[in-house]
Amino acid sequence: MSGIDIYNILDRAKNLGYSAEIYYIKLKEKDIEEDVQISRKSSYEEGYGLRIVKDCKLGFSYSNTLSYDLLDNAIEVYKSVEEKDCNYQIPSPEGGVNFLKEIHLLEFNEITEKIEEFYSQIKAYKNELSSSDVNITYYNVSGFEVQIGVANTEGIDINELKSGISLSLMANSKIKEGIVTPDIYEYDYTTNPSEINLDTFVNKIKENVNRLKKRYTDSIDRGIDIIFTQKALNELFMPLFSRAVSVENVFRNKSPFSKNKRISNEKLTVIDNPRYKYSLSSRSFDAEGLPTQETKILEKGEFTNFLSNTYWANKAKVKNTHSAIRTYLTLPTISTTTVELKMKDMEDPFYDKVLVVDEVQGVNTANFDTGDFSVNVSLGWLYHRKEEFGIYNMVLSGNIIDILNGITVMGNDVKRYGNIAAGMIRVKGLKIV
Amino acid sequence: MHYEELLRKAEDRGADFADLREFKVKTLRISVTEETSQVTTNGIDHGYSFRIVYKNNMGYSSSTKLDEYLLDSAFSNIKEEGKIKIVLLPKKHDEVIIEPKVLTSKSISEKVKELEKIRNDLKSFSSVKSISIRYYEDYIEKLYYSTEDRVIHIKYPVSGVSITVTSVDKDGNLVSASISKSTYKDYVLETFDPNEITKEAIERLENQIRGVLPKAGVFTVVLAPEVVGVFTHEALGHLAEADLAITGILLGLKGKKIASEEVNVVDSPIVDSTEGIGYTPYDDEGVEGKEVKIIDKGVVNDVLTDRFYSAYLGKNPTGNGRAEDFRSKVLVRMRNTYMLPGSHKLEELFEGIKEGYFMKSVYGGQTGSDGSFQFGIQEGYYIRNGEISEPIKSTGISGYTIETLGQITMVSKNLEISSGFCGKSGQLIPVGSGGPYIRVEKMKVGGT
Repeated sequence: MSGIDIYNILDRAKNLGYSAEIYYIKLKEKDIEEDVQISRKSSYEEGYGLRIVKDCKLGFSYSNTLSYDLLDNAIEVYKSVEEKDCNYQIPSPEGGVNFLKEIHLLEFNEITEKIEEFYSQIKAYKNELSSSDVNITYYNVSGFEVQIGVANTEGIDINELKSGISLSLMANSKIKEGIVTPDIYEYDYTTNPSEINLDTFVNKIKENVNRLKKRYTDSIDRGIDIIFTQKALNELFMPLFSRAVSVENVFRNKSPFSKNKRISNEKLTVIDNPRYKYSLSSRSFDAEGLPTQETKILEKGEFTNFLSNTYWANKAKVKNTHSAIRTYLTLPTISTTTVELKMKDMEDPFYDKVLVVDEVQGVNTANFDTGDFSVNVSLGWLYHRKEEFGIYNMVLSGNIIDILNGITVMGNDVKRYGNIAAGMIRVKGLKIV
Repeated sequence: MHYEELLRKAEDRGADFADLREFKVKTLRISVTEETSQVTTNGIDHGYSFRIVYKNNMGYSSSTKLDEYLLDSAFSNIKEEGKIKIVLLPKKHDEVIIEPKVLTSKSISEKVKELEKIRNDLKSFSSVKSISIRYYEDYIEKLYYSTEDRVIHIKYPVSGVSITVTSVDKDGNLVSASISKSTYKDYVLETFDPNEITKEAIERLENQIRGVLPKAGVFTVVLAPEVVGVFTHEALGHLAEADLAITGILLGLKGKKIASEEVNVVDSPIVDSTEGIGYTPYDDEGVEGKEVKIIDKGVVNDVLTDRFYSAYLGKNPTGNGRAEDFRSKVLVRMRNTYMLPGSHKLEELFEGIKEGYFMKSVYGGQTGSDGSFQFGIQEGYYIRNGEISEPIKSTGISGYTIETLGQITMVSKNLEISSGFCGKSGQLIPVGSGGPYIRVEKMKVGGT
């Protein structure tokens, strides 16, 4: 059906007695990647997710096109669940939204130009590195511009444009016939492409190849202190932490954290910051159209807040932290954005003998309910008296609470890597095999 | 615009080859917990992916609309010096359709009620503190059109249920257990008995409650079919995907014996099992699925390819080009990957093990191109003096694939296939995996 817009659907829903909300996106993307072939792709996608609420019941449907079928399908779902839950609510505006300028620094055509620039630079680096026996096995440069909007029958009608770039490089080096180093993976994603420095990427890859080629063969103390780089924190700590601080999981005892549980490390503060400069997860409003704000999660050993959306704030009777996240294909859930780790005193974590963990493998095998993990250290090295030796085939085990309790030192090299902003941290009390 | 018009216009503009994938997937997701019942997804995900080869260059585009954007964008992505070749195939028109009877006849409301019944059954166990039941169904329709005049139409359902239950152990620590079942035949709660699924979830949870932390180190282990499946998929199958095989270790080992003759691993487009959800009669490049013998009598034999890697390696395509949806590019992916049964009786595998482990179920796994692998164990037991003993918890197994394959000393006669989802480059696709029971003489086990 042509000529239908989101307001027609919301009006019809309202006339039928429903409180309704449409979350929509219009997304343009471009990416270039190469393994043994170079491929370039452009894409366009639009989609609409409709929630309706009436008499303590919820309906939902999505579509890539706008028509009244969207409403009919949501009503079918509404009728399919008999159980009533009066915590369902399409939210009303809660204060004004302070729009972030730095999440849309470039238009899509400028993003496309940046992608081509990065692509040319990577090609040059690829040739340069191959002469030093480092093989870039894969890279990807991609960028996007998206319009995200939320409109509902309760007075919210808001949208914003966001654009950004992500870049990833994967490399290895042949040690001898049939044996290569583990994959070395560097990546960044940002709303500000000038933050990405390819020199830094390439230097890190070269350093890591050198570390891995100098293999440590002696046994290592199972309780050795661990230093997590920001990349390792983004890969291991972030998924476990993000899941554990959701009000839903805390409320349902599906989290290792609870309001009454203390962390013995009183020097650590943890903040969720959806307005962190240039982070790709930053946004002016959450997926229900409510203004974003910083949330202090952990301070002086106490969990001060967990993250919520409208439903779970109502259900658990806690403050709504406006942490709803979703795609148009799903209902809103809860997630962290950029997590900041802060320590009272910061110092150099490199002293004595320590195992540095830069990449881990198998985080998807962790138990996200309990926070237990047993992951392979796919890129790590032993630091001892300013010398570095690559370690292979090592398993790191523990629990996310062990990490929080065990942080003894945070370096002053604070930076954002993916969705975490921190210095490197030194942790006691984890186990290696 | 019609697909024929799009392909003709591509040829008119000089394309040597063009193909269009149309994906139309009716999706339904239901979440039932101890607190709520929600339909979390309901709709049709519909879009197009277009590709051209022009003077040995390739350009891609995708969109939720079938219009000139697809054509113009694909051509705008032609930039490089031409190096790309793909295998071209003869004309073919075919249709493969599985029509579910129960899945499409049941209403959303009936499905919600059946899931709520499982929830209520689980609530009757006092040890259960939280319940998460996730139901999904995708009624997948794929249409493939190419300038070779290949028109392939596939339609089939995939539906599944996963249950996670949590409890608290004697020390007050949170423990959890999960079970998942999926099928491509029809409605999962008709194909599998919900009571059996519930029973197994509770058994796993109770093992976690009374489980002990295992001793870490290198041990002799017996792996059950589900773990063997994850091992063959994660540790070996990924290494056999042509894009990873080229830069990794497997291609260089082709023709070499790395395991005993009893070790045989295949990747198959269709397997005779309800859980063989890697069902791929034609892949997403319109290629007929062929079985690939990755390891044949202990010898590295073959790799999985799409049209591009077939041309690159100078071999026939195997039908392993798969994409998660219309947004995603085709990658070399597995379908149903499993180890073939051997000659031993199950009890022989445990004989003579003084202290070791029996690993029955996994959380999932991951592998590196250097051949390293790691996966988490959710159900495992000590083996003491050849007998299965107390349950263990919170552990993982890891190692190097080639070394581990060489450590397999016995393969049982059984064969079981499990369903799962495989992630690669951000794309998640349904796969089957499995095998017999195997005995591995030395394997690294994580723990205390």
